[in-house]
Amino acid sequence: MSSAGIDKVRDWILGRHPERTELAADVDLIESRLVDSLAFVELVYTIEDAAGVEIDFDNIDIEDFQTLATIEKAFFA
Amino acid sequence: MARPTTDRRITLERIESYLPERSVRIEELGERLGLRRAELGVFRKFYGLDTLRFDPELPLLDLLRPAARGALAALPEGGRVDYLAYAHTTQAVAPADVDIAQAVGEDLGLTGTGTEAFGLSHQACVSSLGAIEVLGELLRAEGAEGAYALMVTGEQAYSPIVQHVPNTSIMADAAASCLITLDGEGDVVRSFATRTLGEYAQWLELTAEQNTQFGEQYGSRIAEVIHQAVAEAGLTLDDVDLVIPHNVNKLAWRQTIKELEVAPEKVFLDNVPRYSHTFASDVFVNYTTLRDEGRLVDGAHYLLVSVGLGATFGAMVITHRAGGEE
Repeated sequence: MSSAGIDKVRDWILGRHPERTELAADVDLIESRLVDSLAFVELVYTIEDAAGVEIDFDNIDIEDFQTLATIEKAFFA
Repeated sequence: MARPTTDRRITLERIESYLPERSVRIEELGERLGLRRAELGVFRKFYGLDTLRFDPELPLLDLLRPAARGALAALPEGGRVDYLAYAHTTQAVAPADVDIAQAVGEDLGLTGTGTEAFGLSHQACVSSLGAIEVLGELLRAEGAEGAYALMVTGEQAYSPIVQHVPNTSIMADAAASCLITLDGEGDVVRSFATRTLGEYAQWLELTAEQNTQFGEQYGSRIAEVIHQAVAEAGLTLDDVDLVIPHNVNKLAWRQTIKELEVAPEKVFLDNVPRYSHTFASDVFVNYTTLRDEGRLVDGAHYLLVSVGLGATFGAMVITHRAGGEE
């Protein structure tokens, strides 16, 4: 069962793409351009808001943002 | 007997670039640009920005002069510059009563030599590539022997609004210049494909929905003009040695690389952390870096690619010829 935090991230992505109603945990968000480069800062703020912490950029990598599953593992586990 | 002018090929006789010495890290610009911690983090970690050249004290002509003089130095005995185009991204780069194209011409000593100097914009960061096509067409239309044209580009991030493209890049100072002729000894321009999506003409004033749409199609639109330029050159993407791109950011290119289905090393991104996005100069700055490192191969094909706000996508295929290199 997913956390409330990752649900907020999923809702934010789906809110940007009204044509989609669901988003599997293993979909590559970057390569599928569900999160494009213009939206990356917003994604960071959405995760920080949902996790209640500031992201430490020295200790993360782009792979942590690849899918909902990796985001959940990196920020909500 | 003269050849039909439409068959004559545009050649790039000399390309030069110039970067001011003053280098800053992006964090030093945080306060000036009002960048929040997370924005700086994303710019550095994911967009690949690090340092850039920024010298607000440098007069614009001093920025433009070194590369323009360097390119002009390739003008052979008996050659003359019929046209000078100053290509720029930001539409207002100087007070309204200052014509930078004329000022550059005077600065280069071209006054009274019959050079027609004019500014060229409206394709934003593709304007420099667009200028090459325009200058080539002008030379073809005239068809005169010994005629050359000079493309000059370069501008400064003179205000925070100009320097920070939200969620996209931090603009930096640089200049570049290219001496052009027809059927010369330099790199051959084999094709130029461009596409403008006028619905994004509002630049930084787009709605959130428009920004989302633009971001979604960014990579595929670049891929379209790249495929078109390659096809018009009679080549395939496999025939191209290297994509020499604009330096907007690494994440945008990562998505474009995926769209193109090419190896990541096929796109030259080494200058993104060094210089960031230098308006319409990027492709020429990157070209000179590669040339000076001995990485351009005689006879090989290269793709110059840029995207401009507004929004214009442009791709030019050139074939390098090393004969004129010093």
